Amino acid sequence: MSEKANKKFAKIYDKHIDQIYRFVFIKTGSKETAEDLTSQVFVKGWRKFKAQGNDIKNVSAYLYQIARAEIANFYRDAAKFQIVSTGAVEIQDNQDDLEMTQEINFMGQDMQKALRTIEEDLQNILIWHYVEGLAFKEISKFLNRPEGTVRVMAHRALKELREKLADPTFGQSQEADSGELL
Amino acid sequence: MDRVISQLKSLKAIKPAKDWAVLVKKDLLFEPIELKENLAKESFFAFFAKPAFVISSAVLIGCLIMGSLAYFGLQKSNYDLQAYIDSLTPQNEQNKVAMAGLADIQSKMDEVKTALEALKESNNPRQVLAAAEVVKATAKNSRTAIEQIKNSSSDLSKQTLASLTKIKEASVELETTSTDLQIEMFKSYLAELETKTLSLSDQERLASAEEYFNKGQVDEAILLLIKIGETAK
Repeated sequence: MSEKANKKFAKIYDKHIDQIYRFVFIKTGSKETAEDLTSQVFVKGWRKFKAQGNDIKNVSAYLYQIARAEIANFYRDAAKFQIVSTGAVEIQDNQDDLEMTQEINFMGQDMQKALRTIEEDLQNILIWHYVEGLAFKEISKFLNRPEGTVRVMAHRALKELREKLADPTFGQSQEADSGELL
Repeated sequence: MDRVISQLKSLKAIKPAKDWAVLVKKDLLFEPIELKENLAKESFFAFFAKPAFVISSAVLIGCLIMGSLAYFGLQKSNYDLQAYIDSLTPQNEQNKVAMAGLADIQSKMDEVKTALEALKESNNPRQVLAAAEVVKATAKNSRTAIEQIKNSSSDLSKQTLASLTKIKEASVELETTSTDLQIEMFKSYLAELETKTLSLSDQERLASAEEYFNKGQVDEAILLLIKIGETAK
């Protein structure tokens, strides 16, 4: 493969690695799974890139499309489901990530759990718009829906999320049922 | 701002581990990685990533290599950077540029060596394996960069050309030594991991790593092993 192609895809990688990892992590809740699936996304992205003459029309959309498929396959193919107390699940990170991990643990776990309970497209819209800062116009291309529809979905998604987080039984039911897919 | 929206935005802080992201990229594209991410100390690689002049960058690489040679405890390095600096005379414009850059480079030497010494004290085999991979990639990059400089610059003095050749030889030596170190660390770490409780996917990685190693594909074996280390209990 030419050096030019490598350099071009390297830039794509650098631009998207954090976003794709974050997307997968939020949806799976596991660092190890996020790393596995994210690397698969870029392996497939790279193959597609080479197959299409070192070009993909909408790279972001394509990478997210692969990510969604990988996440769906992951949940579908999980052979075992083991329920563990979330208190016992230790998120292990190297020293460099310790500060980030502590911050996310403190503020983000309930939010991530709540996100995972709402419909997939609604989850995605919230992640893309509020976490990644993407405009509704761009998101509408990802979902192949009119921009107006995406805005309505975003409004609905926020409403659902607020209801989940405001529900006093939400945290308790998550402690009882949450688990890590092995 | 709405509290829920604020919490959503805070999830932007979720990021992958830097060394993992760098190694995945290398694994994917099968070429030396750009030295953007620092496995040991940020300033170490930030320094390397910003050479002042084209010819100076070759000498910067030489400084990095010299520091690396110290780290790996090589006894027989006959390349003396200070002697090279002292011997340079401003024979032409390119050499003048080199001398101006070298004054700055020399002041960075301690920082490079300190960072490498800090890595030497690391008891994290994954970090050391990954760092050795980066040093190896650096050495390979430097060989390529030196060839490009030699081929593109017709006005270099004989002295400068000879020094560049010495740096290139040191690069080759460093690459070989890094690989030897990695092989030794790999064997030791592999033995350690076999006593640990691993998840199913990690057990598969361990088996694949051993298979690659036995086939002589050390790079692939190490990349797999590094992925296992963070989850082993």
